[in-house]
Amino acid sequence: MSPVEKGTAHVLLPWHEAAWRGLQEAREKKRLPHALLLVGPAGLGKTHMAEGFAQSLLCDAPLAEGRPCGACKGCHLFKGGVHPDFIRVQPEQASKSQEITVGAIRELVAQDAFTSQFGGYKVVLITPADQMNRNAANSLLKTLEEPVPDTVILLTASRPHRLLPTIRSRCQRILFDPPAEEVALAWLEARVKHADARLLLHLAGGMPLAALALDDAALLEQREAAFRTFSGVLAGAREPVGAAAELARLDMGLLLHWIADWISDILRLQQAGAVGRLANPDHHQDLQRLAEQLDCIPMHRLLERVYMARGLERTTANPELMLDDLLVACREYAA
Amino acid sequence: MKILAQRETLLPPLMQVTGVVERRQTLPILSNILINARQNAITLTATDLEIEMTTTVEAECSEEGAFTLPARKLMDICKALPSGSELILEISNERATLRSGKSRFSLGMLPAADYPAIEPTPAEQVFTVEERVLKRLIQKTSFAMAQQDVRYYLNGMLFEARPGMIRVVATDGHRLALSEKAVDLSPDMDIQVIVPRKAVLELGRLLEDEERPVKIELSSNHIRFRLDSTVFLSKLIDGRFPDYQRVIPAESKNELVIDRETLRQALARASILSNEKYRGIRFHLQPDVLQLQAHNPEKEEAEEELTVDYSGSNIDIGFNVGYLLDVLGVLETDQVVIGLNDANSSALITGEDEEGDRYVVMPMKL
Repeated sequence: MSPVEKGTAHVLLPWHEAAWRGLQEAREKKRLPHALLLVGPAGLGKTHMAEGFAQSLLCDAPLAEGRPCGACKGCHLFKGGVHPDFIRVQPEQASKSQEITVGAIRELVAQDAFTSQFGGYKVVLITPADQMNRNAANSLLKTLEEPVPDTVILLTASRPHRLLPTIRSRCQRILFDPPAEEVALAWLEARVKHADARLLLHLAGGMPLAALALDDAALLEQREAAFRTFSGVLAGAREPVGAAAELARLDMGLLLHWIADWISDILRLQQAGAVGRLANPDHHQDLQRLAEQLDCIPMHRLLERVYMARGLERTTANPELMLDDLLVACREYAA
Repeated sequence: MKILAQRETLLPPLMQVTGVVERRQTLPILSNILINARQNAITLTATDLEIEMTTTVEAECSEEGAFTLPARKLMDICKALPSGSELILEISNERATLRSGKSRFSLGMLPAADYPAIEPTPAEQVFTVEERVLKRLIQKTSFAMAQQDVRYYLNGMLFEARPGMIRVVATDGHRLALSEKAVDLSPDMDIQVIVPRKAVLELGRLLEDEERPVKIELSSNHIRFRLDSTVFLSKLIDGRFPDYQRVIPAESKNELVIDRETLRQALARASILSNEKYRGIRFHLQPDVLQLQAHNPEKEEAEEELTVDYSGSNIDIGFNVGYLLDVLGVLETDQVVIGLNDANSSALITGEDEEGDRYVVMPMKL
């Protein structure tokens, strides 16, 4: 997730305030845990919060509530990404598996043994920690268990079940929940440019940052086109292999997420009628038509197939073949 | 700003600091060197966030200022220019232009404010040691430092300064090297810090066999070595070094005296047929005779017999031959003394009549 606003100072997101205050209080009482695990669905700004907290720990003269001043040398180096007491570990961009490798963690462990450069905290950010592979996670255990003094290790995870239990048990957990709709909307409305904030928030399942990432005219257009193609296949109007070739051009993760949402909405409409809350309120009419046309048991099966496909994401599975398979299945289940 | 320097004065210090810059760099600015221009000198600083080297070079500067330039490229250009060239570095806004004769190079610049140079923190302890003494201490022990051990406090060298002496210790858990030297230090001196492996090796390269004093300054996070025009600074390892005194055998019941070079050559020959992975070699010790035996999984065998000065009991003991060769490589005396107790306890190796350097090697079961 990209940082929310690249500005001079760190901007605290409104739904992070409670957690932030808790952390700063612990810091003042000198009871800051050495390892914090920030857990919650993607799109809530966990990494943003972790970065802000790291900057706050490294800031020479924090403002009220420990907010980083944005002007001192510590903040300057931090913003430039060159703070010597801040170590960030994340998957390499070119890596296909998007895993954090054991090499990266070993390097971190070696660096962590040194004294801090400015004599204050040393901060390590591992994001997303649930993408550490098994070897990487294992080589981190020793450091998590016997921390070097004045080191704070921040981990973020949107899928904490993927972390080793031995990692989870060594960290203090901070839970992130989606904010109340009013809070999220108030924040979003000031920033959304291309679409209705409420619609985006629904599409993103209530995650404000994910909603903001969708605020992109081209992306929304893609979604519109993908929906037409997909509903065409379900309705029997489109031939699946051609449709798959068309859809394969899109970002696979996002597409599968959309497809899962569409099928879920069809199921919702079949089960509860129009009273339920839809993830895609803008396609209510079309989804309603499909819901009437199709049977619910095959739709459940289809949803399962989509989830399976999502499990294969970031593997070497050929996306085009995967889509072919999925859309042919759509066609069979819908017939 | 305009800086005028001679290739011959600039190149050696430039090469020296560039040695600190790592080839593979995650932060782009770390592949640069920081250049601070003053009236008639410039200081060059390079860091890899673990160690930092600063050196001062004579140069004519039109004004004061600071900027950073790509280290390796600058060095390569200076190297490739003909000897005796005069370099003119011109700095304006975003770019730096280097001219020499009819050559012109335009280099990318990054702001000095982004450079993570180490802020000088007030030194808590300061003392001076002769350069060659420091060099010798490092030379005698650095081979025993651990490399990428999970026990991170072993990946470095312990520096201890007490009234009247300075001592360094390195160990990887299988062998230990200790070297000490009597020096004049203030009576309230009590220092024990671990200097990281990379810094020790870099320092070993930097120091010369000279009588010049090196000023060592210690703060809670850093150790700084001040040489003539160069300042070498390193972070410390944040950990506790094991109690090495307990590792060194207090007394040896059986002492063996042997010619160093003879033993070294015999070991080197026998080691050829030792197990490549474990490098085990067996010592079969009887009065005045030492038999060395090595064999490998291919059932090949080497045997050596040496005449030694030994009057103790018969002992059969195994060692990693690599560890022994390391020790014999740094000892300087003609005769070495190997102190043994039994087949399960460590050997203490020293030079004859040379108490300052002590080496402990753990035995291995063969």
